[in-house]
Amino acid sequence: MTAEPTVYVVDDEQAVRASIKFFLETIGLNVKTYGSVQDFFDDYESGKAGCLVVDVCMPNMSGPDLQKELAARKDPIPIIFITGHSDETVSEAALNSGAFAFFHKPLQSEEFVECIRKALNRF
Amino acid sequence: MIRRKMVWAGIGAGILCWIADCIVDAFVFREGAVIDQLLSFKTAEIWLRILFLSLCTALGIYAQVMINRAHRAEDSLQRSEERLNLALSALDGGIWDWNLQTNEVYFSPGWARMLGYRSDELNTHLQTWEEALHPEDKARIMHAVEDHFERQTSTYCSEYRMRTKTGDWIWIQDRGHVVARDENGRPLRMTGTDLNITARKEAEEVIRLSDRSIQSASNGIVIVDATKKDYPVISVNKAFENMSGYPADEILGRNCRFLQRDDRNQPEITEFQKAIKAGLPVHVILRNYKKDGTLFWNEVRVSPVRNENGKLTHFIGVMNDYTETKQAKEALQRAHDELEVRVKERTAELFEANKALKQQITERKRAEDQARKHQEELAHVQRIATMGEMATGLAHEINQPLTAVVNYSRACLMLLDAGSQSTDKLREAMREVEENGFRAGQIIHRLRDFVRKREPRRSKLDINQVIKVAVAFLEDEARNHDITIRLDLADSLPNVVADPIQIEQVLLNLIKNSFDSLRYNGSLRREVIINSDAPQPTAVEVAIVDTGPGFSLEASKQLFEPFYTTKPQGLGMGLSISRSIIESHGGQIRISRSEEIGPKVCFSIPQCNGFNK
Ligand SMILES: Nc1ncnc2c1ncn2[C@@H]1O[C@H](COP(=O)(O)OP(=O)(O)OP(=O)(O)O)[C@@H](O)[C@H]1O
Ligand SMILES: [Mg+2]
Repeated sequence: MTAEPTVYVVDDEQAVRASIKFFLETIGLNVKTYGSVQDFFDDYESGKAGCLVVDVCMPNMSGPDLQKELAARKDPIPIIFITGHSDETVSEAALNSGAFAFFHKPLQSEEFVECIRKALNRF
Repeated sequence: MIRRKMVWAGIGAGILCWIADCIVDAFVFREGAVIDQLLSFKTAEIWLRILFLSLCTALGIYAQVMINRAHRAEDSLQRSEERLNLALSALDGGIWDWNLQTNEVYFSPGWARMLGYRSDELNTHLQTWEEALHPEDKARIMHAVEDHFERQTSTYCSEYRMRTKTGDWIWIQDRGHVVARDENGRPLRMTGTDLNITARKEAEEVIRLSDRSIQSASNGIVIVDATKKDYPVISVNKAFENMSGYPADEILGRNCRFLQRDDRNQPEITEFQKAIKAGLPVHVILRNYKKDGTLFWNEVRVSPVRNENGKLTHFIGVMNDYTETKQAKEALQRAHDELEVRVKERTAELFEANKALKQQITERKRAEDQARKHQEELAHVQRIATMGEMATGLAHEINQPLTAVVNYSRACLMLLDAGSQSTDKLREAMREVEENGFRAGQIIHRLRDFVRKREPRRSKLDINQVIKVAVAFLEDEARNHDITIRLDLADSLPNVVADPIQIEQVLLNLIKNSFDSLRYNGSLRREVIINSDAPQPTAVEVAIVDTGPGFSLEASKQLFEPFYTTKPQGLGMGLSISRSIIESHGGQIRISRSEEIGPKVCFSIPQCNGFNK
């Protein structure tokens, strides 16, 4: 059980994270959701198999803040950013700073699933 | 016959005297018996006795004559007094007879009756009369009596008052004369008659009173004789003299027309003459002239006077100097006419003014309408601009539910593809699709409402609800700029009547200003606090406070001016539009500093009941 990788979803928008969870669970993935970066760090243990799906814009701590924090912890867990904003500069900056992928909402399901699988497989 | 009787009586008396003389002789001188005496004839003595006898007879005759005469006189006196008394009894009066030596007075029964007494009740003394006199009249009466005593009057005559038995005063006419005087001319006896003339006196008094009244009347009064040719004036009063300026003696005997002089061409004169000819009362106002020639308007009322047989005997004219009244009336008429003219003028002016005012009002109304339209258009433009600014945030907001919709739909498809039997899962996903689709629709709906061009529409609002909608628009932007919006809303606020979109616009403007201030100034603490309250029972108040640096005192004076801005992309319309919206709702907007936090913009909207559209 524990060996099974987990998808951590961090998004302040409840509808978004609930729908992602539902969707990923239908394809048999293990999903954990968090409403904020703080909530995630409260629960998260480094070194486990999995990947992160993180909203860019969130109050207090944003997606990039989370990325920086993990980088600081030297945690290699892959991060997939999702955003509601169609701002190319943000996505480029995110990718440049080591993000695994970047998705715009609404999510292209097949590509997204493919990307998640890839990320999990990296482990 | 009487004379013969007298002679015999004289002879008888002589014989008796002789016999008596003889007897006396016999007894006194004792010279023989009586018979002797009688028979002793001596010639001388006989002659002497015959002489004596004759003397006695003559004396007796004389006495008889005198007595007879006296008797006769007394008889006639008595009869005449009776006659007088009878006559006087019809007249209500009596006679008196005064003995000045004894001051005894005879009062006849009529005299006593006149004063209400019976004859036997009166003391036959002068005092009785004196005591009944009116004290005021006494001196005058005594004077008249004295005059008569001194023969200055042939008859004493006086009219005075006397008190009757019942204490009433009656008027007496007293006439009399001295009927006997002594050798020195001093009166010994005086007689006279008293008549009760009270009724006449009273009648006279009435006549005198009416005469005095006529004289004292303030109207001119003239009486003309209608039985004489040309109706001469027989009496005028003082007021008439004063009015006309003619003294009475120049008027009496003349016809009144002299007052008109040559000014005969007056229609009233014809009317007047016609009435007089017919013996009818008449009321006219004539142009008359005073003695000195000045005109005066004479208001005359003439009435016919008839005697007891109904025959027209006189006319009485009552005059009133109408000049002043006429002048006053004319002045009044003039004033009235003038006033009417002025009122007409004024009314016309007012009418014009009113028209102008109406015009002005329509113009102003049109201007106001235009201004309002302008403002509405401006507000609309601003809303669209605001939306433009918020487009990214809004797109993001819509994206969220859409993302959810897509995810759930994908999940459903995969479940179906995998031939899953779990309808529960499917149903759950579909419900989520529905819900999120609906949410996205709502956001778009709100957006469309906000930017749509529309007439302002006011309704009862819960201001807290409007605040929440406005904040929802800005939540994403706040998040992006790391700004926290804190709501501090009072519970159960009274409703306000307002246009929800316009109030939302105001809120957006104010909150966005705070955002701008926080963003541009890189404040450490980024907070916007929105507070709602009802500090007075008449209005609901909303305050937006931020933790930014705020505005200088200098700037705060112009913040509300249109196009005042300190921002590179600012239009400077936010506050200006907000103010016109709030004021059009009957509210107020103002800026200040909250004590510990920062700048504060505060607006109020009157409550439902205090608001009239
Ligand atoms: N909360 C605030 N703190 C500091 N300054 C403010 C605040 N609100 C308004 N101001 C000042 O008032 C000016 C006028 O504001 P206003 O909303 O009318 O125009 P604007 O925000 O500049 O432009 P826009 O038309 O886009 O709203 C602003 O430029 C700013 O200088
Ligand atoms: Mg503004």
